[in-house]
Amino acid sequence: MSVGSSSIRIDAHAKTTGEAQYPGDRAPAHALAARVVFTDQPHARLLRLDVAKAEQMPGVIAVFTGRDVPVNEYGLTEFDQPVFVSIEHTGRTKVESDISRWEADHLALVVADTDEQATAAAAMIEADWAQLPIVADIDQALAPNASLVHPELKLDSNIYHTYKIRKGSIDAAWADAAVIIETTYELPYQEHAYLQPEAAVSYIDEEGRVTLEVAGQWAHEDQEQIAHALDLPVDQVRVIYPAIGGAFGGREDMSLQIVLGLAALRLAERGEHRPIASRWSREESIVGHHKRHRGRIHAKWGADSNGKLVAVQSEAWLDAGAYNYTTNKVLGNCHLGQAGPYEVPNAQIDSHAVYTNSVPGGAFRGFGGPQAAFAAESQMNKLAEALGIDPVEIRLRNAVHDGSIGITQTVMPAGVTMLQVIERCASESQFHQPLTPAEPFSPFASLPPVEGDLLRGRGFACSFKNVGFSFGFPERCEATIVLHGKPDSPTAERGELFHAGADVGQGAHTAFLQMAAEATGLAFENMTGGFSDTSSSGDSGSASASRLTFMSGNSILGAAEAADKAWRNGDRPAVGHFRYVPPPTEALDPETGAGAPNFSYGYVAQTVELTVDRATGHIVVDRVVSTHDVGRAINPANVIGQIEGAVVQAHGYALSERLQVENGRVLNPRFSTYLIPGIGDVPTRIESVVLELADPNGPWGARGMAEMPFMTYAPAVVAALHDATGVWFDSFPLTPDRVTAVLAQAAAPSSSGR
Amino acid sequence: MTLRLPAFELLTPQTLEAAVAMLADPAATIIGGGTDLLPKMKRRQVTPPTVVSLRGITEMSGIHTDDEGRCVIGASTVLEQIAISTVVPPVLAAAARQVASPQIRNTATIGGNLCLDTRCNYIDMPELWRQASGHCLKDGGEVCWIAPKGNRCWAISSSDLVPVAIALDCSVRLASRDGDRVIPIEDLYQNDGIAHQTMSGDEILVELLVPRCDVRATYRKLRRRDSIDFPLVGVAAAARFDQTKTCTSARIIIGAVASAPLRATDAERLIVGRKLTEDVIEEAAQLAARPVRTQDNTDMGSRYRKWMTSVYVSRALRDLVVEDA
Ligand SMILES: Cc1cc2nc3c(=O)[nH]c(=O)nc-3n(C[C@H](O)[C@H](O)[C@H](O)COP(=O)(O)OP(=O)(O)OC[C@H]3O[C@@H](n4cnc5c(N)ncnc54)[C@H](O)[C@@H]3O)c2cc1C
Repeated sequence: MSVGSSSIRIDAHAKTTGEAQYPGDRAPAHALAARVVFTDQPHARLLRLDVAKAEQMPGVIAVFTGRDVPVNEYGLTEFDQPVFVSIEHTGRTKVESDISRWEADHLALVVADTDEQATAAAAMIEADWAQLPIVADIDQALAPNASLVHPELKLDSNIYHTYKIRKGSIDAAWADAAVIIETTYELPYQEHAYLQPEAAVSYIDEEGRVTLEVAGQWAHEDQEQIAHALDLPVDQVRVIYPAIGGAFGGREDMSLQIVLGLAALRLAERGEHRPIASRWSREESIVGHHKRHRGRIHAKWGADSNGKLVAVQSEAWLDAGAYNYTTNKVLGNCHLGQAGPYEVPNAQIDSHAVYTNSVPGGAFRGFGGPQAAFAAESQMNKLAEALGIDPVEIRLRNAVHDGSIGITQTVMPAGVTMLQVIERCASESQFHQPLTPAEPFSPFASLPPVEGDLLRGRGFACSFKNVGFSFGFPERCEATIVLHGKPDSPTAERGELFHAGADVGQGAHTAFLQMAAEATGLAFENMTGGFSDTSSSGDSGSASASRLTFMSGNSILGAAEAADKAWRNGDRPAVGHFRYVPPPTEALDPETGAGAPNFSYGYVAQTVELTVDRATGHIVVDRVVSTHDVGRAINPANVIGQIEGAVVQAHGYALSERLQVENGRVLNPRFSTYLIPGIGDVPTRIESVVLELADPNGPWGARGMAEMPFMTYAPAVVAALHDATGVWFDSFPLTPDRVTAVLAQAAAPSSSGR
Repeated sequence: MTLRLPAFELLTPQTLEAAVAMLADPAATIIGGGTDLLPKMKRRQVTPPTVVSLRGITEMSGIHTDDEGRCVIGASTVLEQIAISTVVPPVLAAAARQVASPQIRNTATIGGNLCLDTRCNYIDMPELWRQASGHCLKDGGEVCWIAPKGNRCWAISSSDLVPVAIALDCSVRLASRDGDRVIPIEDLYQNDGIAHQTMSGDEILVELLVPRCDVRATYRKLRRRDSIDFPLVGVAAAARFDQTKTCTSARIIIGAVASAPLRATDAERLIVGRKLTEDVIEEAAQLAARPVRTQDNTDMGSRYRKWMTSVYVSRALRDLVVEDA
C-alpha cells in the first residue's frame, strides 16, 4: 500500500544535505545580474524618467523600462497593474501606466555583469514625480471625498467589488432572538515569511522559448501571464519550478517572472545569450509581495434561548491595497465564512474589496477564511457565554450536516462532517474535564513564576474551508503516466508520472508518486516523476486553496486508468493522459448570493489551552488539539506536518506578528522588527487528531486539509484568553502591550467590562 | 536591495600591544564577534575603513579566577561560554543565556556586549531608508526623530549583561597606548545615545572583573518573544541580607529604558535597612519606575515599557526574598 503510508519524502535527502537547488541556486557563474527598481512611491504620477546615466554605468548591459514591454499590464485575475510604471505607452494597456499606486511598483530593471554594478546603476536612474493623495487605509478609502486609486474604473468609491447574501428576513428574525451579539473586529496583515525570498533565472532554451526558472504555485498561469505581457504565444514561454522554499499563497502572483522574461527576450534580440539572474533581499521580499488582507468585520448575530441561530448580519471590508491580485477571490471565501459552518435561517452579508495605496492583499493560507472565522467563531463563543451554553454544545446545535442548506441557499456538497469533527475534538481534548490551574512555571525567560498573576484558560473554535477555488471557476488538473516494461508481460516494471503541480515544500510530489504507485499497482520505488515544467506537463492548476491533493489524485487516477488501457492494447511504453474536471460549481447571484459555490469542504475544530500572565500580558499556549477530517491521509506524516506548521503560522498571526504600514509604506520589512514566533514561542504541545471520513469525490476519499488548521486558531486563542481573564479581545495580534492595555481598560471602573 | 558590507581592511593582531598600536589610528574600529558591528556596517550606519579583530589575541579569551578571588572574563570570550560557565556568578550566566539566539551567542563576545552601541527604531534602518526620512542626530543629522524638540539622542542601551555587571559591582580593565586602567563598570556609561560610553576611541576593553559574589542577585528581561529579542526592559537586582532578613546593601539597575543603564537609587535607599515585605517591594517598584522616561523607539510602546518597569522591579525584588528554611 503506497497510499496511507508515511513514505519518506523524495526531496528529504537533497534538502537535508543542502543539495536541493532553489531558484537562487540556479544561476550559473556567467549569469548576468538583474536588479528590479521599485518606484518607492505609494501614489504619484511619473513626470520624467531618465535612465541614460544608469546605462552609462560600468558593466551595465541594459536598463529596461515600460517602453520595452509589449503589453504593459498584468494581474492574476485582472490586468490592473503595469509591468513598469512608465510614461511611454504602448497603446495596449488598460491601466494608466504612468501612475505608481504602490511603493513596490516596478520602475525599471537594470541588467549588468555583476549585482554590485546593477545596484550602482540603479541609483543613477532619475525620476520626477507629481505626488497624488495617498489613500492609506480602509478608513481613508471610504471617506466621503476620498481620492480614487483606480479612477479608470469609473466607480464612485474605492469599493470595487462587493458580494451579497440575502437569505430570509433578518429584520423579522431579531424579534425571535433571546440574545444579540454585535461586535466590530479588526483583522491585521500577515506576511508569508517563507524561507526563500523571490529569485529567478531566465534564458532562451534550446527550442527558442523564453524560459524562467522560478518559484511559483501554478506554472501554467505564470506562463500565461508572461506570454500576455510579452505578447508571445503561450508555447513560446516555458516555466520551470526548481525546489521551492515555501509559498503559502505568497507566490501566486508575479514577482520576477515577467521582468526577467522580458530581459531574456530583449537581450536575445541583441545577441546577448547569457542567462539573467535576480534575487530579492528579505526587505525587498516583504515590501515587494502581497500580504494576508487586513480588514474589518462588523457582525451582529442573534440566537434563541436554546442557542439556535436566528439571524446573522455581517459586513466585511478587506484592504485590497493598490491592485486586485486575488482579492476578489479571497473576498468570496471571506464572504462565505462569515456565517460560520452553521445553519442560518436568515442572513444579510455584504463583503467589500477596497482599493488603497497600501501593499496589496492577496492569497495566504486560508484565503480570506481566517478573517471570517475570527469574527464568526468569536460571535459564536460570545453567544454561548451570554446564553450560558457550553461552547461545544452550542456548535452541535447549529453546525451543518449532510443535507443542510448552506448560507448560499443550496445543499452543502455531500460528506459534511462538521458534527463528527466537533465531537471528536471535544473528547480528545477532554474539553469537559476541569482545566488544571496554572502551576508556577517559567517556560518563558521573561515570564517568571509569579503564581498570582498566572491565569489559565481554554477555548474552542470550529470551521470549514472549501477545497479548490470554485465559485464557478473552471477547475482542472492534468496528469500523464507512462508505463514501461516487457512487451509480453501483463504488468509494467516501472512508471513515470508527469505533473505540473507545485511542491512548495508541503511534500506534494511525494504524495503524487504514492498515488501514482497505488493507482498503477507499482511499488512506490518504481515510480519516478517529471515535475513542474510547462514543456512536459499539462496544466495542473494551482498549488493552493487546499486543492492539490484532491485534484492531482483524481487526475492521477484517470491517467493510470488510461495508461492501463494502453498497456492492455499492447502499447510499450503505454501512455495515459487525463484531465480531471471536478463537479461543476456556480458563481453567486449578485443580489442574493444564491448558488452552489463549492464541490468539497474540509472540516476542523480546535481546542486551545493557554496561560496568561495578567501583569505583563505574555501568553504561553500550553496545548492545542487540532482535529481534522482529511478524508484520507495519503501521507499521514505530511498531514501532521501541515497541521503543526499551520498552527505555528497561525500562532504568529494571533500573537506576535505586527506589520506596520503607514501612508502606504511598510515600516518593518525585516525579521528583527516583524516578529514571527521562534522555537521558544510556539505552543508547548500540538496534538493532531486526524479523521478519515471519505469525501465522495476525493481520490481514495481524500479532502484538502492544509489551510484548515489555520482557520480556527486565532478565535480559539481569544476564547481561551476570555476563559482565563473574562475579557474579550476583538483585535489582534495579542502582543503583551495590547493584552495588558485591554485588560486594564476592562478593569477600569468606567468600563462596562467589554 | 541586498545589504552588503562596504569594503574595509581587516587587521588581526596576535598581541594586545599590537592591537593597541593599531587602534592609535582614529579610523580603526574594534570588532569582537561582529554581531552588532557588521549589521551596522551593512546598513551604512558606520563605515570604518579599518577593522581590528581581537580574536587572535589568545590571552583575551577565557574565564579564570585571580589571586583576589575575582572572576576574570576576557573580552573575547563568547557569550555561550559564559552561559554554560559554572565559574561565573549564576546570574551572569543566566543573563548571557537570554541574549539573542544560540547562533549569535556562539559568535558574540562579552566585550562587544559591554560596548554594544545604543539602538533605536530610526537609526537601525538601511541607508536608503534613513536618507528618505532624513538623517537623525545619531546619524549626523540635526534632530532626534524620537524627541524632535530636544537636543539629545534617546537611543537605548540594550545590553543584557551591563545591568547585571553593574549590579554585581564589576570593574573593567581598559588598555591603550597610555597604559592600563581599571574602572568600575558603572563609570563606563553615560545617558546620551551618541556618546554613551566614557572610554576613548583608542581604548580596548580587555577584561571584565567580577568580584567574589556574596550577594543574592537576579536578572529579569522583558521582551515580546522568548526567541531572539533584545531587552525592552531589563532589571538586575543584587542585595545582601543579615540574619534577620533585613537588607544591608542593594543595587537595582534598569536596562533598556535609557541611553545608559539607570540606577534606581531611591528604591535602593528605601529597601536598605528593611525587610523585603510585599509593601516594601511595591513601594520600591513604584519609586524605581518614577524617573524612567521611556520613548517610542523600540518594540512595544513607551507607556507599556514604563509600566512594566515597575512590574519587573517588583518581580526582581521578590526573587531576592530569602525564603524560610
Ligand atoms: C538578532 C540579534 C539579536 C540580539 N539580541 C541581543 C540581546 O538579546 N541582548 C543583547 O545584549 N544583545 C543582543 N544583540 C546584540 C549583540 O549580538 C550582542 O550584544 C553581542 O554580545 C555583541 O558582541 P559582538 O562581539 O558580536 O560585538 P561586535 O559587533 O563585534 O561589537 C560591538 C561594538 O563593541 C565594540 N567592541 C567590541 N569589542 C570591544 C572591546 N574589546 N573593546 C572595545 N570595544 C569593543 C565594537 O567596536 C562595536 O562598536 C543581538 C544582535 C542581533 C543581531
